[in-house]
Amino acid sequence: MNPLIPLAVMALLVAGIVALFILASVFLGPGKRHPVKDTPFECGIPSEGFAGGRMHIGYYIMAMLFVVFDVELAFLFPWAAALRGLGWFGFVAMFLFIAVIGAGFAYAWKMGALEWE
Amino acid sequence: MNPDELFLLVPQSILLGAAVLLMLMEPFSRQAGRRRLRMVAVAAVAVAAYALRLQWGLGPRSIGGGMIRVDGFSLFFQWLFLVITGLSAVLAADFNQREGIDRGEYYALLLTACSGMSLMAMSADLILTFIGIEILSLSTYILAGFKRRDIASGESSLKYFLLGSFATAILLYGIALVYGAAGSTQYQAIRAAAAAGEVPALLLPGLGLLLVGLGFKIGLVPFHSWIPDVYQGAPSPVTAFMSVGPKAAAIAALLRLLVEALPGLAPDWTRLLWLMAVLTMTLGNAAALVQSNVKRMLAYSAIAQAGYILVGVVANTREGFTAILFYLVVYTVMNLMAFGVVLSLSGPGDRRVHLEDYAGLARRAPFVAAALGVALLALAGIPLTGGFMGKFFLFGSAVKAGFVGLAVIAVLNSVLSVYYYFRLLVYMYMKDAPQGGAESISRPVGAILAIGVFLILWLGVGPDRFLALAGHSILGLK
Amino acid sequence: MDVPFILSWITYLPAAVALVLLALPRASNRTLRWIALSGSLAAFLLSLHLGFHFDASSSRMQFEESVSWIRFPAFEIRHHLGVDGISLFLVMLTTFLTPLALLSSWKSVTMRVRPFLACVLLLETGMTGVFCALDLVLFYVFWEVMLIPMYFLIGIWGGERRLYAAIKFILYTMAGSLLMLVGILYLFFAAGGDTFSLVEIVARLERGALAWSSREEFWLFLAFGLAFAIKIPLFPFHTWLPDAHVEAPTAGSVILAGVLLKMGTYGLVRFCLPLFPGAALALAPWISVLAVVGILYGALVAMVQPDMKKLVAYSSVSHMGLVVLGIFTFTPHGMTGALIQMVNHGLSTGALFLLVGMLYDRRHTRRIADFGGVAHTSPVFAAAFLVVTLAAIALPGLNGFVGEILILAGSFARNKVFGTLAALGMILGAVYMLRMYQRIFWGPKNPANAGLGDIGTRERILLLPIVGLMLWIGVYSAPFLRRMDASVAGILERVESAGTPGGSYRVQFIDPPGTPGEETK
Repeated sequence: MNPLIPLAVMALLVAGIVALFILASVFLGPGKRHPVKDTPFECGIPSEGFAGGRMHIGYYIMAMLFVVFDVELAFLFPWAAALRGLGWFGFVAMFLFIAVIGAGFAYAWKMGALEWE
Repeated sequence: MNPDELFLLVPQSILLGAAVLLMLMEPFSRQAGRRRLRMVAVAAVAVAAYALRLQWGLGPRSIGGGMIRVDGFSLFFQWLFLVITGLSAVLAADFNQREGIDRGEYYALLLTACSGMSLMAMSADLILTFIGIEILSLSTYILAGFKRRDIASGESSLKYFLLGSFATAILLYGIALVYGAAGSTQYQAIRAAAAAGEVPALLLPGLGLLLVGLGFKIGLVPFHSWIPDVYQGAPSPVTAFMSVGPKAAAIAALLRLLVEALPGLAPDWTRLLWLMAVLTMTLGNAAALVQSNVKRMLAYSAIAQAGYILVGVVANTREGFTAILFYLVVYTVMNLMAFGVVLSLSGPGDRRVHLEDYAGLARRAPFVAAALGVALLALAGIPLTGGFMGKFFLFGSAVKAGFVGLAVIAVLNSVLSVYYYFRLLVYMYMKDAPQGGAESISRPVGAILAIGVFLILWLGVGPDRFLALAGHSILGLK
Repeated sequence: MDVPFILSWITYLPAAVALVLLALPRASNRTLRWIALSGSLAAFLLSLHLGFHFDASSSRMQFEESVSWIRFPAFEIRHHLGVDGISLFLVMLTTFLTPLALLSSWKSVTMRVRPFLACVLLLETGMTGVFCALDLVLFYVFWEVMLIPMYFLIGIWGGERRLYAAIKFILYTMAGSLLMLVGILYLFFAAGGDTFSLVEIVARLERGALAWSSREEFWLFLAFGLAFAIKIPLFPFHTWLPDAHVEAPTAGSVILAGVLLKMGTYGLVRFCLPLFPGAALALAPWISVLAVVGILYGALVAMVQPDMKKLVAYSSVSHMGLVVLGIFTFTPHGMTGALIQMVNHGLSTGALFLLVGMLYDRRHTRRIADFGGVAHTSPVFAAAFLVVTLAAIALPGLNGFVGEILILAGSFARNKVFGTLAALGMILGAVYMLRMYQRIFWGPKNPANAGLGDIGTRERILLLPIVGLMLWIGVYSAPFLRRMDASVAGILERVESAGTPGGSYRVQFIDPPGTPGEETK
């Protein structure tokens, strides 16, 4: 048997199941339309404003910086736990890493990325 | 990691260190100190090149647990990337001042891109290849959109980013499949898995997806559609860089992957790449015929040129790979020259890039026209230029490997390409200028053009030494 | 006396002079012209040495020189030059016509003189190189490089539609020659992948160390033959020629018609016949048919041309068809006739373009209908034109006769129908050439020509050597033919060796070989 056949079978199964669920919800669902049901978020609170609105650029910058420094922190925990095994090499490596991140922080600060206005 | 291994990574460390330094210098330096930024970048490239020189002759080494290979092949490419990066920095200098984008980040991103490209050439592990591609891609995404106030530049960057992300995702999926099939991401392990009896079933789809990802970076048809828009919209020095650097890096990664990890699937990938080479050459050339924007024309020409290079991969012989390395050197020189002229003449706003803007250039700026002329003749593959020798060896390797049909298609494509390369010559030499303002180019660009003319003729008349170097470099591929 | 590297001197001297021209920033146009002219004259004088010291009894390459050019572990490309009876007169024709071409543009090219002269000189280097090169790659390099200056000559100094003509010229010739490149590569690897030397590969074929399958030979012949057929140009690949001829400046037309077209027929004799004799024999009938069609078609189209240059261009198609016919008769007469006819055509067509150029310089028109009665105002010019016209239509006593009679003799011996049709083409040639002459020089006077004046000293000096040479070849052709005989015999032997017993096409020796020059004495 061609070893690619299981792969093809799986692809067919996946497609089939997805199609099944979609069709099932179309046919089985009650399908009652209501203004509230047509809103993007059906969470009980009336939606406000419109989706195409613009966010302040500061949001994005702030979010990005948050991710960068948050991930840095996420690295620090396992490193701290395994430091004994890593030895001096690990110690120096992490400080290099922090130095690079620190340089980025200095850059962002000086460029005014942390100013809101 | 022992100190010996760290020594082999010194060139990369220099590049990345300089990149960080530049990022810090930018906000902390005043307008008067701009020149220094560029100097730092060029100095870093020079020092890294010197550090590389020290590694020459050490023999092939594997470091990082077999992830990184330092051999002739990676040294050759690292050196090529350093040259490309250094030249791009110099070419960009005046342009960036004119367009008001002469910032430290620009040069820092060039350096990180260079580092990413080097990783791609050194990598003997799919994960590292992926990381190299990502470092390179993220840098070039930003560079393409570096003229923030320019709509075309933004469009270029966004298009490149979106399509590039798709390609990377597909590449990643390919890596996953290959990992699933071989149980490892290391090239040698993949090779062993494929060699032991039956080829694992998932390897073939994995190969296909990897080819899509790398094909996108090289710009192979049918994964080329981003190239014209991105090349046209990006600032001209960035286009110059993108047309040579990432392309060469992706070809290096492709060669390593196919030759070191997947030689067992050679019949499959030669057939696939044969088709892609034919499509790439033909479509690139056919589309270039009708362009009136020089940057766009050079973009399609870059697609077609990638097709010629692929001929050497299809041949899948030592001669073919040698020819590829040789041709990449030639291609770098001629393309950087062509773009060097384009970015010097493009005028305020990078707008004067139409064929009509080149009318009568031979009168207004004889030297520039002559330099561009030599570059175009080389791109068209006229003898006595390096372009001819490159094509001669590439097509020769195909003929020797039995792909005569491919060689015939390739030369017919060269005929097509003569039309559009020579059309620019027609505008420069045979039409009269609408208004006769003398053009001036900066001294560094002039110097690069002069060296380029010399190199192209040298490569065309006496290619032995370069070819021997290329032949020596591919010994590492195995 | 033995001059070392004489072929290199002849080949590269013009290019060196061209570089000198480009390096002289402040020289006046007059100085530049004189430098260029003396450079090309020096090359001509050097080439005379070849003619005097050529050993007519040998079919081998002479004045050979070979140095390594590009070296690889497995093989090398050599800078290998040499001439034999086939290329000798073509080299001399090149060096002879180039100074004349330069002289012809003395007054007419006043714009961008420096690059013009450099282009003509570089062109000379390329053409001489093509005729001397014995290494396939070297040959290809010259063959291609020569296109670039020609392209600029047409494109910059040409007429109204020069851009179209230049692009058409380069695309046509490139298409053929790049396929030849693949052919060269294939040949190289088939021959063992260690040499590009024509002499060596032919020797291997003769020894039997290398043999073609008939399919291989067929395709290789086509790959090479197409490049040559476009250059000749053999019908139906001729359509670039009228455009290029008409639009090129006089000097360009002279060189184009005089030398460039010969590169095609030369290539057939030098490469296609010795390398692929079997395919040459097998395809000879078809090529002969194309040649005959070209002869008649060219002549018929020439008859209706209102433009002098176009008329001469189509007459070239016709005459070059005759040359191809002569080669593919595979008779000593036909082959020798074809070789001498190449020289003749170079002289007479070159001269015709010079003469048309002189008219054009004065009146800025090339329409035959704009002239008439010119003989009254310019008697010397009319006389020179008459001699050249008569040479072109092969009047006995002038050079054209020698070549045509030999080719016709060869083709009658081969195939009566081809011979008859070719002769018919020659008669048509007389019709259109004499009609053109009549309409320009006699007939009603066109008042616009009243102030035409006769040709000046420079132009007389220009025409004198050509007319002299025409008479010389016409009256006493033995010195020329004698030097070709041995090489022609060598080629024919090579072709004969591939002939299959009972095959329809074979080499024919009409007389004892080696005496084809006799009937002209």
